[in-house]
Amino acid sequence: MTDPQVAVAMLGIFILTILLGFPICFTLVAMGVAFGYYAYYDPERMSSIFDNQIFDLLVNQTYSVMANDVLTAVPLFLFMGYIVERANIVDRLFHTLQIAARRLPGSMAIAALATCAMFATATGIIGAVVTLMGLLAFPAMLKARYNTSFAAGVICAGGCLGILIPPSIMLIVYAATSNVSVVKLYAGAILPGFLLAGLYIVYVIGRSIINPSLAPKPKDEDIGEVSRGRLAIMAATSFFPLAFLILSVLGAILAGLATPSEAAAVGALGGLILAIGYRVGGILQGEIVPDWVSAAAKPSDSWFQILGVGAMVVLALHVAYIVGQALMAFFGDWTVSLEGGLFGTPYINSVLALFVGIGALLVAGRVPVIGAIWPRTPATHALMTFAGHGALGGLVAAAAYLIAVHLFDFDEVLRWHEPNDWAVDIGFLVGAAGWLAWRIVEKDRLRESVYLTVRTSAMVCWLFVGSWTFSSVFSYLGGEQLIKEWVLSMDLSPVMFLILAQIIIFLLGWPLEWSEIIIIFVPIFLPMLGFFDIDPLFFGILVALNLQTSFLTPPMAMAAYYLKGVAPPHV
Amino acid sequence: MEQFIFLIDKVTAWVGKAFAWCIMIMTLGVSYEVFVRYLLRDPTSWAFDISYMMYGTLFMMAGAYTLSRDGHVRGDVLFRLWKPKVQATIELTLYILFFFPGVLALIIAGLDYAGESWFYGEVSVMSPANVPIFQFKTITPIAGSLLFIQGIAQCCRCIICLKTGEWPRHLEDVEEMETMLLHQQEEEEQYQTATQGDRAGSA
Repeated sequence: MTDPQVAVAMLGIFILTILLGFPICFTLVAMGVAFGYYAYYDPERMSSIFDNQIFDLLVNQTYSVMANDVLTAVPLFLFMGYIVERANIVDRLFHTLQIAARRLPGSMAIAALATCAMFATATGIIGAVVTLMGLLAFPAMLKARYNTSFAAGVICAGGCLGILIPPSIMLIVYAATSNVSVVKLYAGAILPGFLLAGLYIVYVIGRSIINPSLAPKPKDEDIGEVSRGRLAIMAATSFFPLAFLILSVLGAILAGLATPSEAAAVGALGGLILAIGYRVGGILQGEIVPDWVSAAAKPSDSWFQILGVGAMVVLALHVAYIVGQALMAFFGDWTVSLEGGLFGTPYINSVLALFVGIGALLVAGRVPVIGAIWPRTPATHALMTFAGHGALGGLVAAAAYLIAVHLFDFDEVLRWHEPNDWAVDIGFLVGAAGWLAWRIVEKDRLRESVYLTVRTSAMVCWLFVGSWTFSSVFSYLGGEQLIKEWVLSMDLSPVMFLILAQIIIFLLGWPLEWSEIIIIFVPIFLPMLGFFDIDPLFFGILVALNLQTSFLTPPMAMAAYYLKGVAPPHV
Repeated sequence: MEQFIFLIDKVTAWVGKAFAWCIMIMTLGVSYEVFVRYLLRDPTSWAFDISYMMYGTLFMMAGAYTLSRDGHVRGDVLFRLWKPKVQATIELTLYILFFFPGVLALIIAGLDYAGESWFYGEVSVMSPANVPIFQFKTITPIAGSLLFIQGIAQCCRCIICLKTGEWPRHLEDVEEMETMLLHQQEEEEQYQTATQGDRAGSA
């Protein structure tokens, strides 16, 4: 057998083994190593049986996945998605939108679609959107006597938008396989994505005007009279923060201000802050009562509370100062160093905080600003105590750091680093804010998000490790060339080739998941695009659209499968 | 044997979960970089290196954890239809035929690669901060070894399944939203049918 034939055999065996159901990434690694060993086998150059270039290739490909700067966005976007998914933001959103749209025909369906589109923008994971909306919007629509298949269709279609609307994980993965810039892909996908969402909404309105029995108007007593002001508050706490988060992430990427990973990190942090914000609101209003609110107070707590109040005030001053500096730097085009801190003097924050705290104790209740954060309820008691704990802890850590730096002379080791007394201020503020955030955040939810993120990232990225090894051996053996020549010999026109490729991908979308298709099968088509003069960007958007459709279409519609799982039994 | 499997599961899950927190470091580090670079125009010299190192570390170290929870994607169209015994036979064969050689190659080659890097005291070329990367390259053989011991546990699972005809249970863990909800739904239905059965019986 010649080398290219071996390569084709390799692909054939691989496709057969996929059907056996073994985890694909390890199949890819093993077949890459085995066939690579054959490909690089050269008795004259090998000093031992382990001295084969395939091992270098394997580890080099692994390292290039590990240090890939496009794929860094994958865990960050996943993390953002899981945080938003687990923070109960969606039901608030759906409820608000449902009330806001109540005068339109098919109002609930529209609200469901809009929620899906926004949620999809934040997560990019299909299964989650469909199941959540299936639990939330589907029973609500059935209760309002919506047509069952109409309601189910709305949710499946809305849920699948996630694959297309940026920032979708799938497009990042495609960008990493095809070397198309993520920004261009996102710019390309945003129009069809939102166009599709808009068309769905137009379709829903049209259908329900023609046939009102599909989507009867909700009765007034079901929703109740909601004043404009109340609606505005609901929108301000559910719709706008999420919309702002999404728009800033997307805007930063599309305007070329930040790389996708940077935008994703900011998005994840924003999601975290949003979740913490909802929780603080809940705790202060007494809707949520964590253990530590009802726990008995210790006598020493009052001192920590004083320090905590001081720390919060100083923190607010500090944030205002930094924001002012940032604004000046941004508009004035200056370079501003963060070092130096508030008023340029180290140590002042901790002392200031103590004095502010003691001062607050004396005037508590009479000064409006301090009165607002002065501990009155058990919840604020506990919060201020935590702020005090954190501030003190941060101070101790910073002192230990300074002593260590001066005693052990770390300067020699960390040459670029200039240790300074500013650490005290940073320790104080970061300690207070960080410990407070850590106590407030729902740790179970955070833990779930972190663990799910790492599992999904491992799934996607290990697939890359296998696939890059496999495909470099495949093309070294000449398999890529052979397939290319074979396709070219069929003498297809570009349009025919495009249709053929899309049909194959559509068919693959039934049994396989998107990750396998994009990472393993799409690269087979990519080298041929140049010959047919097809832009890989265009091809990528088509693949995304295609996969989205294939998830919606029988016989293997994943979306319907998820919905079936959570729907009421009679559906 | 089940105890042995759970021991390995616990070890790899602990490592995977511990390194999962790298995502927090990554989020905070990159956000800090965005803040000082775009707003204060005073970029850091380390944030880029931190971001890809955290990313690489977290997914490599979680490989074995993901394997233990059956999280690696597989083409299971036919696989689902077979009996557990057939599934186990095929899996056991493929673990021995595919998994161990591949992972061993990764460990051996990774050791060489990391050893060279330690020898030079290699630093990153991406940034002027001279961030060392030899520890990052050492991740490859470590992740490979974790996968290796997890592979042994998976083989034990197959053997148990061959003996009893049923897949042994997994440790409790976080589930994806959809899986979690599906399970809940199933349990509720079972509960409902059970209670209905009781009622019918008492009537």
